[in-house]
Amino acid sequence: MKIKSTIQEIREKSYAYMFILPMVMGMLIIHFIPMLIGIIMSFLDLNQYTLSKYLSAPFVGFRNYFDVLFNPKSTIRIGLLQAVRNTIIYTIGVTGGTLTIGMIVALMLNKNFIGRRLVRTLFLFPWIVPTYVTGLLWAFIWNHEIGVVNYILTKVLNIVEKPPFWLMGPNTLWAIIVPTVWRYWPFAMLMLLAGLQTIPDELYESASIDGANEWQKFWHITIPSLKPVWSTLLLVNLITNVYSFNIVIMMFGHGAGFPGEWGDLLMTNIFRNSFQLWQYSKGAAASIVLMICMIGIVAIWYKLFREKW
Amino acid sequence: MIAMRTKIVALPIFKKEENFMKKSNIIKIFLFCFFVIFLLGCPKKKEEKVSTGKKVINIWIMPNSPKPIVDLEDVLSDFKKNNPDIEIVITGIDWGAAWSKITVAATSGVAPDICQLGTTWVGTIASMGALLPLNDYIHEIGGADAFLPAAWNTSGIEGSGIVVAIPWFVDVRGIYFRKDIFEKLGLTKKDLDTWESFEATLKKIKEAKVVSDKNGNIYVGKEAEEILKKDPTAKIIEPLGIPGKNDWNVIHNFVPWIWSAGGDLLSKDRKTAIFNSKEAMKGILFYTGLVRKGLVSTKTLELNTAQVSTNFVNGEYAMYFDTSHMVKYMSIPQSEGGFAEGVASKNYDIALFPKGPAGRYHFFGGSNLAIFKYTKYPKEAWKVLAYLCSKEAQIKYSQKTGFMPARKDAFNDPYFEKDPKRKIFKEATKYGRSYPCIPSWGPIEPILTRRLGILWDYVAGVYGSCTDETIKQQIDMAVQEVNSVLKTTSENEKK
Repeated sequence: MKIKSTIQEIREKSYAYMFILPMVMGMLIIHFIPMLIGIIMSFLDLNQYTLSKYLSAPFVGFRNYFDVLFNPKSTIRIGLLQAVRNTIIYTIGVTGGTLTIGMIVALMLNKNFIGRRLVRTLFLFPWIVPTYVTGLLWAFIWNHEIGVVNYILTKVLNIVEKPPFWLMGPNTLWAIIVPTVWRYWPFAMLMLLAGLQTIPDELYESASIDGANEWQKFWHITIPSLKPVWSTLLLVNLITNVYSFNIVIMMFGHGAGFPGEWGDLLMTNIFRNSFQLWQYSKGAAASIVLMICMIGIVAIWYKLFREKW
Repeated sequence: MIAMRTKIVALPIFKKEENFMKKSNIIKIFLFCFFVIFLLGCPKKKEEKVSTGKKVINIWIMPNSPKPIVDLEDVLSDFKKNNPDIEIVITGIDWGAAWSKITVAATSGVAPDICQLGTTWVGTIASMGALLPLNDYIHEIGGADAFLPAAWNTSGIEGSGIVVAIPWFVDVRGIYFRKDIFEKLGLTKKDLDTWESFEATLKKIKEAKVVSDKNGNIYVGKEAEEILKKDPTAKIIEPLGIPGKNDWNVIHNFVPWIWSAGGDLLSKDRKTAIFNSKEAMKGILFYTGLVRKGLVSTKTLELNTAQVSTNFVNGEYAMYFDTSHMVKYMSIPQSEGGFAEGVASKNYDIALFPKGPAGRYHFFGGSNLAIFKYTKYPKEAWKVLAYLCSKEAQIKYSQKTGFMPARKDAFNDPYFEKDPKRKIFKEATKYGRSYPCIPSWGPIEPILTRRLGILWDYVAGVYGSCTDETIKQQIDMAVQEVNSVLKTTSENEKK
């Protein structure tokens, strides 16, 4: 009876199934099959000698996972902790920066003033610039000698005597965080502005009658009302930034060398080990470990935000 | 409004079951057709161009000259006239993408017939078994003896005896220096002959505080001080510019100093990295010492070769290291992608690398040509390759690219004999040395490039003062990483 009713239900909803079929097929081809192959690869010894065998390469069990996590002599492990440290700082910095600037500008643009639409359009400019251009542009901006940043610090503001290096040493991390924030805050602003426009004015009017100040209104009305928007942005930003790759590649030599100890992110580390050092399996194992960590982060997000909406 | 809404709700598709079924069937058919079209639309393997019954030879090359495809087609024009049955299709691939494209081609079998390989890639690609052995053919082009020894060392995996890639052109480097500055300070090319005199020359230029105005005029002493006060565009010229980052040349620039000091990168059995040995460290410390002694500005260390060469052309440095191709580019007008109008372009000369305690060495790079074993026409592919590696074609290609030919006899041509600058590069070929052509070199090079880039961060002082111990520590870390690769490779070779 149950099977019959299920079949009946499928028949009744065949129309809907037909519509979601292309998406399911696309997801299978683009996401799930490569992911499955990645998982298989992480248990094989796939390198320059065995690459032609592909998935028939020798099975090595959890050796790649051991090399990634515990083998201090493995090339992927040598730079892993630095890459983890950089990725955490980068993700927190970019996510925090993007949401904060996005929120401030969205609040500004939510007020009525002449030229609001023009300003909003202009603010979207960094978002429509390709990452390639962003990388090249900021590589010049950070340049020690001719960069705008050092010019402002030393000649305009006069707050630094000796111009700092932005593309070398620990400052490299700032050199990649700032352009990423610059590129992505307009998107956060757009989403938050759309959210702000759905909050009824009556709420603010009632709060004013009750004697609430601007900060209290923001904290007790705006933030809770925008929770579905900013929490979603938080999740999207966390995922995007942990998997960030382009900005580093574009700013630092297009794959020749990569930045030093403070600019290497997890994805650039995995890319370098997989495609330049030919350790495809170790790269796959590191990717799977990262994916598991991200599943954990997404689960925490669900626990914190999704259920309480 | 109510009437309109009623009208919409009353549409037959939503109201009458039969019509709805008919419509849904139409949608199903539409979706089915969409899928069929989608699946049929998936790209098939490209059909080979056999328009005129000619045998098509595909060649992949990198941008070796300002107009890579046109220039190679020009070199091949005589060959095409004499071989009307062969059609040559040239595809240009960017250096940045070349490594992954070629390795994918090598493993997938979807490969061109002939491919340009960087000399440092040959060992790795050859280890994948994707290249056609050429031992049976090489006598036709004169064999090993016809080529520069350091270039021929990259023709196949070291010790295997199998030739898979024929040297096409060599990338040999020299010191580019400003003639006008040298004349003004009473220096000559001889002052760059040894490590000691090289360092003394840098010191002399540094202490002289040579100033250049916007037109490239040189001033020293009081004249220089005055011009610095008067002209805000005037600048002090740095003695030497060296790239430190984001560049494959970082390692190529280090290695001559290691060799000149008597050190090497790998042990003779190629199983251990030895560039932290006493001799190698001597070379590394000398080269990095130029920065630590203030003879090279730390500003140049965040630049790559292209930026350093542009700065030299614009009159920022008195010296820098580069390949022979810059001689060509400094003679081409800016409108055609060259630097002929540059301040340094009419005022420069070239010198050999200085002689160290163990002799003089020049890094030898460049490119070879290989045939993939997947080719349908091995004989025709070889014919094309043999032509490109002939004396005439190599001279012609050298004139286009500025790189030096790999054939010994090509150097007898007046193009190299009569031009004093090219003559220096001809001499430099005597001191040429290349990296070991081994399977693990492919992964080793990115490690060295990155690690030496990090070393420059320390030398530049971004982590505080840099001592000999700091440098040794960084080199030891690079050695550890390279040893890890060598160990993995050795295990795989045993399997």
